[in-house]
Amino acid sequence: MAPLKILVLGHSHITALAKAFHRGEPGVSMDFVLLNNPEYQPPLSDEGLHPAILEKIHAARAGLHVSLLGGNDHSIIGMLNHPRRFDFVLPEAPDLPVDETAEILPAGLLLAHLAQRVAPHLAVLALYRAAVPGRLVHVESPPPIPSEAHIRAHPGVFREMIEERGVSPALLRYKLWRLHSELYARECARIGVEFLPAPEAMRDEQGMMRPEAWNPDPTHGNALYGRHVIGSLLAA
Amino acid sequence: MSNPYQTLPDTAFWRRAVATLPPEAVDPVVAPPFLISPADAVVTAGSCFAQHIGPTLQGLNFNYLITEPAHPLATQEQARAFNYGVFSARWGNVYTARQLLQLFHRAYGNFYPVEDMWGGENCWIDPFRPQIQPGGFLSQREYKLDRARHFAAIRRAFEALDVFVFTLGLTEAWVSRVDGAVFPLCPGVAGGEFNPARHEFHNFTVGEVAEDMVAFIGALRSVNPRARVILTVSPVPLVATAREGTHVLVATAYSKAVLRVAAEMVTQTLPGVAYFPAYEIITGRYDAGTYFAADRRSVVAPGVSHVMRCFVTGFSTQAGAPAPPPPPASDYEPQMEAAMQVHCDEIALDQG
Repeated sequence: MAPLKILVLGHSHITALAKAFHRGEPGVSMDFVLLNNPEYQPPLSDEGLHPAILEKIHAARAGLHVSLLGGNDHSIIGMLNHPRRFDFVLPEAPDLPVDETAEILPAGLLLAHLAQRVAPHLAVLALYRAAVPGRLVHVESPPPIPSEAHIRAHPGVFREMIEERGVSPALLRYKLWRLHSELYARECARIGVEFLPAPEAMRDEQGMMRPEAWNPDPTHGNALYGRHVIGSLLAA
Repeated sequence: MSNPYQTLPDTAFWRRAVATLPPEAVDPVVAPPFLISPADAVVTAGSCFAQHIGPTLQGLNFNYLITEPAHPLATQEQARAFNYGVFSARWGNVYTARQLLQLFHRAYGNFYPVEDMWGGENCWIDPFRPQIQPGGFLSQREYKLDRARHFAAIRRAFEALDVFVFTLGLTEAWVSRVDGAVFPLCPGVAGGEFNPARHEFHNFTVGEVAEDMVAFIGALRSVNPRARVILTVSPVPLVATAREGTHVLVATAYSKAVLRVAAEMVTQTLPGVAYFPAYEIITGRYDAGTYFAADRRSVVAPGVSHVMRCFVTGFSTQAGAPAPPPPPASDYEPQMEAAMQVHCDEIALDQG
């Protein structure tokens, strides 16, 4: 039987899957369209998806289409301490601790703000949906890495900003990730895309990323994480 | 033969102060009892027309005090949608004098309305500011935390202000039969559920409005003795009247007359209280009705400009002074966005 052909389209979280695939993932054939590449810029215009993206989508003749579009907008607003520290009550888990020494923002305001940030990615997702028949799965972005020590040890381009501002509390980063995921899940339901949650096995008891899944950087999963995502895709 | 009119200023004569002037030159502010200096902290509240006042003051070299400001993450549009900066605190529209008085008592823990939260499931509404944010509060805990902070912001505003500008908007209100709590909107309109056993209509009389304003100013001065007050009356007609058998035009005329008289009674009674004739500027008819939009209700921008021009000319010690530069925009998010782009691009390169 021919291996299942999977086309994965998205941004940097693709890397975890690509690494896993290149290290050997039997039974599947995967192709990756990394929108960070200049050849796909801008992914979206008044005419729709960039022609090079459309060409990749149609040429793939994939049995399964996968989106890892976006996935770090929550980190943009919440990975480091804001000069005006903030927190909020997560609507889906209102009993989680809230730092009452910080400004408490309405969750709806943060949702609105994140919605504005992710809108371009969701627009691409909707056009991806329109471009292909059959199954299209969007993979939830990885949960945050709870360890401040890990982030400080692998700061990358954030080194100076981390020194200046400090890493924000893991729980705040978790809550922002949940809002971010809610926006994607809502849009997926609206446009007929399956929403695949982050692999349970890669999440700790608080729902954040387990240490063995941490890539040596502040926000991404590693090849093991990617392998679990591929496993979830094939099981779904 | 002499008579008392001979010594009166031009402003006392319709022909000289209204009839022969271009509409935009009519300025009915005469000898206010006090002026506002750039250092004076100004706080605003009131009906929907009052929403024009605060943001305009900010651009006119007034020290507009905001004690519940938007977080810098919010864009201008998001902040506006969530009612940050519309008034000095996120109290929403305060239409009646009784509502204002109760707002004070609620903020200071002297009044706990029985009906103080509407909703359930995924949306909780504050009955006393039901449209304060799109979609309401998304959890009961968020609602309670936000309200506690809101009350603290109210107290800071009342205690730090030098001048309080209040626009009287309505006499008609819906009140709780249980404890007299005044709702800004009828329950069921933007949250809650109307129940005739619990809610009743009340049209405040001129005596009640004046008494409530006097009581409020007394309460305000109990926490801030230096507080000066400017009263205005909203020129915006009622969107609807709940008075049976009464045309909305007639109900509007009555309500505005009551508010106007009550404002006059208070300014005549208390020191340090001024009346600002926004109502007269908009409804004076010398402009041939051009200050209202096609719906004959909304005040158009030239009308608002006229009102604010008269306010500045009449009340500011530094009329026409340039506004201070706006505060620098927060660079947190753009910096993070740029760094995240580089970060993700670098990670994306590593496919091995």
